[in-house]
Amino acid sequence: MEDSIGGSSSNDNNIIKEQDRLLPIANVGRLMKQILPQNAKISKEAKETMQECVSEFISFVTSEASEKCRKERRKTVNGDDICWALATLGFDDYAEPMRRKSRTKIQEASTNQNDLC
Amino acid sequence: MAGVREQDQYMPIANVIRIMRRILPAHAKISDDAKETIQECVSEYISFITAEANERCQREQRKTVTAEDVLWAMEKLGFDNYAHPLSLYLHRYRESEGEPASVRRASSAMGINNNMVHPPYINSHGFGMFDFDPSSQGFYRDDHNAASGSGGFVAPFDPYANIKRDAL
Repeated sequence: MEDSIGGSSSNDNNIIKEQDRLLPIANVGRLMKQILPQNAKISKEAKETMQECVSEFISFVTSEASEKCRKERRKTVNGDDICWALATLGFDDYAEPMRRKSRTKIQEASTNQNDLC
Repeated sequence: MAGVREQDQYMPIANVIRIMRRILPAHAKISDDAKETIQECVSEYISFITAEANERCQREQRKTVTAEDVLWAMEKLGFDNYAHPLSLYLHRYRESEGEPASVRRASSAMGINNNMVHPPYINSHGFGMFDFDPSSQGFYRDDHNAASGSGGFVAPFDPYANIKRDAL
């Protein structure tokens, strides 16, 4: 990124970078609101903190899954890799329900396929 | 969660994929179920932390969830290694928000966006905030064998370094 003195282009670049790096703050806020009581409020800083954390969470899990694929010489990261990464990073509470959900989806898909035949 | 629209329940898939792509090698592909799994996890993660932060607010009879509540919830739920760098980040953010207007003008003229000073902790994976390797197993578990994230891993940081350097 080039330094531009007095120009607005570098600021625009910053904005684009931010969009690539973080999830939309409106969506983060909306999801948080669903959990909170109706009269509760969320500070802007709280949303921004959550925004940063969620990006890191995605990055961590993806990185771990990517490493597994690299070792196994595979190009495609799949749901099982994500579940494995979650378990490896200590998110066991997430990993098992996700695996179950994934299996259910596969079973449903194959059932639908059989019905069509 | 009856009656909740999908776009309210999950983060936009395009944004999630964009973050994943920054981590993955250029040739890598992401399957649909991987995208969905991450998407669902993100929602769970946000809900998990928000619920805990809310509990604290209710105990203290406050209506507004603050960044401190979020950090406290993370620490309580075992994400200690998130909470430490984030609290430093928050501190710097507030410092930069409260800086004199003259400094802010000077830095924006030089193309520095000081509204949000990004923490410079870049590790081998190129993540933004945490200077450690997530592949060390059990990083988030609350056990004594897991690597501790609260060590002195924060790089020294001066948000006004560019200004000082140019002034010399």
